[in-house]
Amino acid sequence: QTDINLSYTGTPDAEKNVLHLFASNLQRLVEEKTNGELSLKLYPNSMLGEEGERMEQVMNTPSLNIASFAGISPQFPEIFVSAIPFMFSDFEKARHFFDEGEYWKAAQKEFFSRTNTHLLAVVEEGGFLAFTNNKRPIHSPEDFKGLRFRAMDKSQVALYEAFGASGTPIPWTEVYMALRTGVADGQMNPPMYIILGSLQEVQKYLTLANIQYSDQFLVANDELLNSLTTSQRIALTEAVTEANNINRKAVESQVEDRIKFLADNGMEVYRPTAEELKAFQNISQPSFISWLSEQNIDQKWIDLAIKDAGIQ
Amino acid sequence: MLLAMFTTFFINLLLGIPLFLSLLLTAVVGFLVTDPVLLSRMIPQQFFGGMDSFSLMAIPLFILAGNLMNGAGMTERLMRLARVLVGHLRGGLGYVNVISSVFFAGVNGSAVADTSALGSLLVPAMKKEGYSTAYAAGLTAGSSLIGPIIPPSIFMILYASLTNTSVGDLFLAGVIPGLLLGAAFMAMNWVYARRANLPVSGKRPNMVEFSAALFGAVPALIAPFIIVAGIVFGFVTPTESGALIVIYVAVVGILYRELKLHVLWKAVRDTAMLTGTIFIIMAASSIISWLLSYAQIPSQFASMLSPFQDNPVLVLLLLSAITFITGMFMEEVSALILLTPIFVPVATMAGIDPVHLGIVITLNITIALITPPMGACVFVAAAVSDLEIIEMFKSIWPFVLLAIGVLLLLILFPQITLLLPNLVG
Amino acid sequence: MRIKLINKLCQGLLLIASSLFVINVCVLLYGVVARYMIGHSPIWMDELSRYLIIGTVLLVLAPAWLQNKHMRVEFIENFLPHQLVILIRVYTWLLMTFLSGYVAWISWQYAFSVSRFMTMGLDISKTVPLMALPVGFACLSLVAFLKGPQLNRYSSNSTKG
Ligand code: NA
Ligand code: NA
Repeated sequence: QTDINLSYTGTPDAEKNVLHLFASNLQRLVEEKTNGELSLKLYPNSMLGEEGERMEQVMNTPSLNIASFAGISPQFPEIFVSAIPFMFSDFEKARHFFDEGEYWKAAQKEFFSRTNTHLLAVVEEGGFLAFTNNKRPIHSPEDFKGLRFRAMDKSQVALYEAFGASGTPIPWTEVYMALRTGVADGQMNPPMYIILGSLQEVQKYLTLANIQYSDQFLVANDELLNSLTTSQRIALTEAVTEANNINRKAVESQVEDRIKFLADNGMEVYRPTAEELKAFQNISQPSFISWLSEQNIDQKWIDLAIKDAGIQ
Repeated sequence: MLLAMFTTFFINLLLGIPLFLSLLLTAVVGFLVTDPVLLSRMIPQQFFGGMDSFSLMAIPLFILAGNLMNGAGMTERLMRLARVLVGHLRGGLGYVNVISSVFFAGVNGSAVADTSALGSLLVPAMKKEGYSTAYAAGLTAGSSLIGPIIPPSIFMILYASLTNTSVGDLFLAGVIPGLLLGAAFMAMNWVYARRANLPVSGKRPNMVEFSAALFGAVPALIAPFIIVAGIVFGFVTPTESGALIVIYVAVVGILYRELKLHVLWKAVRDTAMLTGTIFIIMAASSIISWLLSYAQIPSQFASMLSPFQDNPVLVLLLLSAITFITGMFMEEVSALILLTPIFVPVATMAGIDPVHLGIVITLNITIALITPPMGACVFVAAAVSDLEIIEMFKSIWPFVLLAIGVLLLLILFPQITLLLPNLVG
Repeated sequence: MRIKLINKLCQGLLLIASSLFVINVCVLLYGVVARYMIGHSPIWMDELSRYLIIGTVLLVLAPAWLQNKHMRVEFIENFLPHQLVILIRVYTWLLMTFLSGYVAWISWQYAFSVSRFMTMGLDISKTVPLMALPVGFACLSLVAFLKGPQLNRYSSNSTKG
C-alpha cells in the first residue's frame, strides 16, 4: 500500500471549501479503484506551506498539490493568459477551453518541461468572479472611474487600471476590515468567497459580470506517476476526472443559491446585458493583453487562447 | 519520533545550548527518524518561510517603539502621571507599578521590556517605602503581564499570522481582559498594603502638579490610540502602524530634546539584536511545526479531544492546562508557534471563536512568562531587584494564581473578550 | 588577534544589520505615504520589507552569540561539578561550529536550487533573499570556531537578553 500526500488550502470542510470536496472525493475514489493499493493523505489548510513552498515540494518529492495562480505563475506566467477577463460567457465555454483546447494542451506540455511536474486537472473553485463595491452599482465601464479596489495579485491591479479604477494589494484576511473602513471600495471574487468572508455585510452592489473563471490546478510529481503501475495510473486518472465532475456539478448547482443568499442579505444584484458585457470586454481585454506582453509572455499563447475561447 | 525529538530538545536545552540551535538539532533528529530525504530541503525552506510574513514585520517596530520610549524619557513621564494619580494612597507605589504597566502596555508589545524598564525604576523606590523585595519584584513581573494583553501585542500578531485571524479584532478583544488583569493586581495591592501596614506616603498632589504631569505624559498616552484606531479603522495595516508609532515616538523625543542621535542609534542596534534573537526562534520552531503537521500530529491530537467537542469550556480548560505546562518549560514564542496550529482544529470543532481562542492562548502564554523554571519576566525581575532566583520563584505564585483566576473568568465568559470586537465589527 | 578579528567581524555585521533595519522603517513609511498620496502602495514594498528583516535577523546571529544574547537556560551549570561543565562547554562549541556550518551548507545548496523561482513583488530570483541564510550561519560557525570552547569563563545565572 502506497501513501500519497495531497496538499491544498482552506478548511477540511466540504460544505465551505470546494477544494476539500475535490480532495476528499479523490481520496475515496482512488482507494476504491485501486482496492486500497493507493491511498491519499490529505493536508488541508496549507499545512505543508504557502503556495510557493508547496510548489517547490511537489517539484522535488513524489506528491500531489493543488496550486492557485500564485503557485503556478512564478514558474509559468503564461497561466495568466487563461485569466483574460470576460473570456468565457458560461461554465460550458470555460470547461471546453480546458478539456478540449489547444492552449491548455500546450500549457501542460510546457509546464512539464519547465518543472518536471504534470498539470493533472483544472479544479473548479467557486464559479465566476463578480465585482462588488459599496459606492455605486456597476453597469458599465464608466462606473469604475475613481473607485479603489482590493487586488489579489498584479494581474488584478492591471485589470482595475484598465477600467480607470485603482487596485491595492490587500491580504485576504484584512479584506473585510479594508472594505468596511473604506481603505478599498470594492473587490472581485466568486459568490462562494464573498459569503466565506461575510463581505455582503460591507458591500452593497454585486455585478455578475463573469469576469474570470475561478479555478485551481492539481499538480503531480513526475517521479510519483512513474512509480505507479499502468493500472494504478489509469485508476488515478479516472478518479481525478470523476472527482472533478462531482465538483463541477456541485459548484454549478450552488451558484444560484449563493447569489440568492447574497440578495436576501441585502446586496443589490445586477446581471449585465450582452451589450454591457461587450463593453466591459472591449475595454479590459486589449489592455490586459498588453499587460500580458509586458510580462514577456509570448504572443503565441495569447493567440492560442483567444482561438480556443472563440473571442475576437 | 515524538519521543526522540522531545528528548533531544530537552537535553540540549538543559545543557545550555541556545534555544534556536536546540530546535534546529531537534528538527534534524526529527527528519532523520521520519524522512531523511526531506532534511536538506525542508530545513532551509521552512526556516526562511517561518520569518517570511508581512504581519510579523510589526514585531521589531513595536520593540523599537518601546526602546525609543525609554530613550526619549517617555516611560518616566508615564510613571510621573501614575504617581500623581495614585501615589498618595496607602500602597501607592504598588498602584503606580500596575498603572504604569497599563499605560506602558499601550505602546509596548512585550512583557520583558515592561519588567526591565519599570522594574529598574520602581523596585528600589518600593523597597525604600517598606515593601518586601519579594513582593515588589513579584508585582513588577506580575503586572507586566498586562503588556502583551493590552494592544499592541507581539503574541497576538503571531497568533493572527498563524491562524489568519484579523489582528484588529484580536487587539480590540485584548483591551477589557488587560484592564481586568490590572484591576486584579490593584486589588491584590490593596490587600497587601493593609496587611503589611505600609505607611501613607506622599501628599495629595495639587492641581498644578497634576496638570504638569498630565501634560508631560499626553504624547505617550496618545500613542496607543494611534495604534488601535489606525488598525481597527483600517487606515493602516498592523505593520504600517508600527512604522508610524516609531516615527511618532522619535519626533516627540526630539521635540522634548531628550532623544539624541546616539541614543537613537543605540535603540536601533538593541532592537536589531532583540529582533534577531526572537525571529531566529520563530524560524527554527516553524521547521518543527512543519514536521509535526507532516506526521499529522495535530489532527491526531484533535481526534483525541473530539469526545469533548460539545463542551467548549472543557476544551478551553484542557488547552489551557497543556499550554500552562508547556509554557513552564519552554520559551513562550516557540510554545505559541508550536501549540497554535495543533489547537485550532480542536477549537474549530468545538465551535470556539478564533478571536476568543487567541486571547485565551495569549493570556496563557503570557502567564508562562512568570512561571518557573523558564519565565523570562521572573528572571529579569529578579535581576533588577537583586533577588535570589529561588526566592523569586517562591514569591511569584500568588501572582500566577491571580492571573489564572482572570484566565478562568475569560474562559467562562467569552463575552468579556468578544464584546468590543462585536461592537465595532 | 583572534579575538580582535571576531570583534571586528561582529561589529561590522551588527552595523549592516542595523542599517538594513533603518532602511526597512523607511520603506514601510514610504508605503503608508504612497497609499494615501497616490492611492496604492507599490506591490514590491511588502516583499522588500520582509527580506530586509530576514537579512537583519541572520546578520545579528553571530554578534548576538558573541554577546550571549541568544535565549538559553544557563543556571544548570551552577549545580554541576567542574569537569562536567567543561565537557558541556566543549560539546556546545562543537555543536555551534558544526551544526551552523551544516545549516550554512544545506541552505547554500537550497538557495541555488530554487534560482528559477522569481519573487512576486521585486521579480528577483529567490536565491537573492535566501543567501541571508548561508551567510548568517557561516559567520556564526566561523565566529564560534575561532572563539573556541569557553573553558575558564563562568557567567552568572542570568538568562535572556
Ligand atoms: Na501591549
Ligand atoms: Na509592572
